Amino acid sequence: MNKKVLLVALMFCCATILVAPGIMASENGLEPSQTGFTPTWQIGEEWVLESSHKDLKSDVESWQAPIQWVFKVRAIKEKNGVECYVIHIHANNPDVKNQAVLWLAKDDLRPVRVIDLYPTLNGMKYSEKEVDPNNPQPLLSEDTIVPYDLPVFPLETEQANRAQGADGFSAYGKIKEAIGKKFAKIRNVGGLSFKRTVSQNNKQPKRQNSDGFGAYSAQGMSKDAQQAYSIEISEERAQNDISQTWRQGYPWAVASTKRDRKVRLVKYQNKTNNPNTENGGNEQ
Amino acid sequence: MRKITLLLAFLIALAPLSLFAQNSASGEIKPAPWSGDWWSRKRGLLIKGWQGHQPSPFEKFDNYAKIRTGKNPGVHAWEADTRNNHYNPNAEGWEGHCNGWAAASILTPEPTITRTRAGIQFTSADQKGLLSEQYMNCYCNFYGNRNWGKPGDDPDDIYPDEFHRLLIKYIGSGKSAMVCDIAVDRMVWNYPIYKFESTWSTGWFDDKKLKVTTYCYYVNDDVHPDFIGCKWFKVKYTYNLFLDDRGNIVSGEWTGESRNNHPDFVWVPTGDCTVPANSTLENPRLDPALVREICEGPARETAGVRASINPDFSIQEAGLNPDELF
Repeated sequence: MNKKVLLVALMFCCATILVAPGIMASENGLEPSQTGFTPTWQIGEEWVLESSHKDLKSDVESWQAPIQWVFKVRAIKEKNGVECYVIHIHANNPDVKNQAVLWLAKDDLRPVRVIDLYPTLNGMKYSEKEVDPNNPQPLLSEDTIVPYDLPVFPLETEQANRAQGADGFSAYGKIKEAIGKKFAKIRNVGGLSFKRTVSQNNKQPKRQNSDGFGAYSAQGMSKDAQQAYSIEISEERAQNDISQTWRQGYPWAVASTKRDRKVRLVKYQNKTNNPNTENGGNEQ
Repeated sequence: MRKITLLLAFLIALAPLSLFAQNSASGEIKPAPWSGDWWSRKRGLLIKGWQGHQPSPFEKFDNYAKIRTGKNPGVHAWEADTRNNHYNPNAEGWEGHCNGWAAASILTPEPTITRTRAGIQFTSADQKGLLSEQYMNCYCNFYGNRNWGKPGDDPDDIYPDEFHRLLIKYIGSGKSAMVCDIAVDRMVWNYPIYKFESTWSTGWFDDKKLKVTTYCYYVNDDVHPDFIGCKWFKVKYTYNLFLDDRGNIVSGEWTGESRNNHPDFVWVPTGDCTVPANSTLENPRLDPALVREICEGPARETAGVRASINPDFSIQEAGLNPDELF
């Protein structure tokens, strides 16, 4: 009998040890609660991205001259019953004629219509990218050099990942699980449909990027404004993973890399310093 | 009764044939990219010229630039310097300017007539040589991975499902010719594809597999520098495309001889690129504005300035109305 009592007591102790941190965390308000971030813009707002392109066919590692891309919110219009930002993207360099026009839902920036413009020997032409507003997916700037890669919003991270545990070890010991989403990407081309799985993972950002993008750590901005979201978008069998860093208070990803392209935000209007504007991004 | 049984048996035997539906796709880019020399590193025709063609294309350019600007830019001297590895008598036989030629042949009109600029005659071959150098460094969309002949390189890359998609996407839709490295090994042989014809059918008793035969028409660079027009060669590729339960193509495999003879990587040039500092990809002494002046005259310059003032002009040129878009 004593043995049974001891065994039950032992099990109770073990259970308490296992469950207690969860309870304590909950009491301290440290439970993993989801937060989200979606940039918001105004008509007339514009920003500039600079893209550097790696020549993958070259004998030696070679990065080409960067291109600066102007992103401008030209209008807010309804498209297919959805209120959208209409973003016009063009290069600062007149020799680079590729452009794009994006209709992104005002609520969550899901693509509603995407037009790619490109030069040919017979003049400028355009094509429409196939998007399904009812089935939002990451927008990949494939088949164009215009760098408009866009994740699915809101961007999420775990509140707990930012919190320092009372024991002081949480920052070291917690495994920061990525929040992942998978999408079936269907490309309908010439009567055939090609399917690949695209995944988007929101990960805890590193403090300093080794490639120098850490410089975009929002000097002079509030702590909230510096909240960063590190996103990875990958497509099966494509070997073209995209890593992006988004920060609250910035209109677009401050840094984005994939195997043949590095993109960084180089000019923007810093709205977060102006408390009267709504452009700092919205917490959900 | 026996006849009916036989007829039924015959019909049942033929039933799988109904699954053997033939499908096809094709496309052709017009005008086709132009044929031209690939300007071998080893031979160095751009700096040496060739029989009956003196001075060389780059000597002519330097002379023209000196007249226009008062200074010899040194295009010939830079190209002749073997440290820059554009001319190298010891280079491998396959090394040259094929990527520059391929991009230029897609992105620029064929220079078919001799242009006389500042009293200097630039033949079609001279102009093609200048353009091939100017487009050595260009922006592009790149697909697949280059095979370096190292362990770990995927011999099946570029995958046939991706290749098939690109053919239809770019050439089938009339968007652009695309360039393929046709050597699956470490060598690089860039050729533009401008036309394809593809047929496929489902396999016997296997409707999850499409057996595809595709003929690709490549623009040939095995021509005399003075050649004008498009000389082509045709390559047959065979591959299987695999479908999921909903009929989506999810993967593929090269078959037959195409297992060892398929494109290594694909790229689609989108525009010229200025030469970054310290790069030897392209001759940095060659001024693209002067090349344009030689090949096209001042008209194109005017169009470029117009577009730079207002990018909406390019939208209008594409047939869209900015007032409706925005």
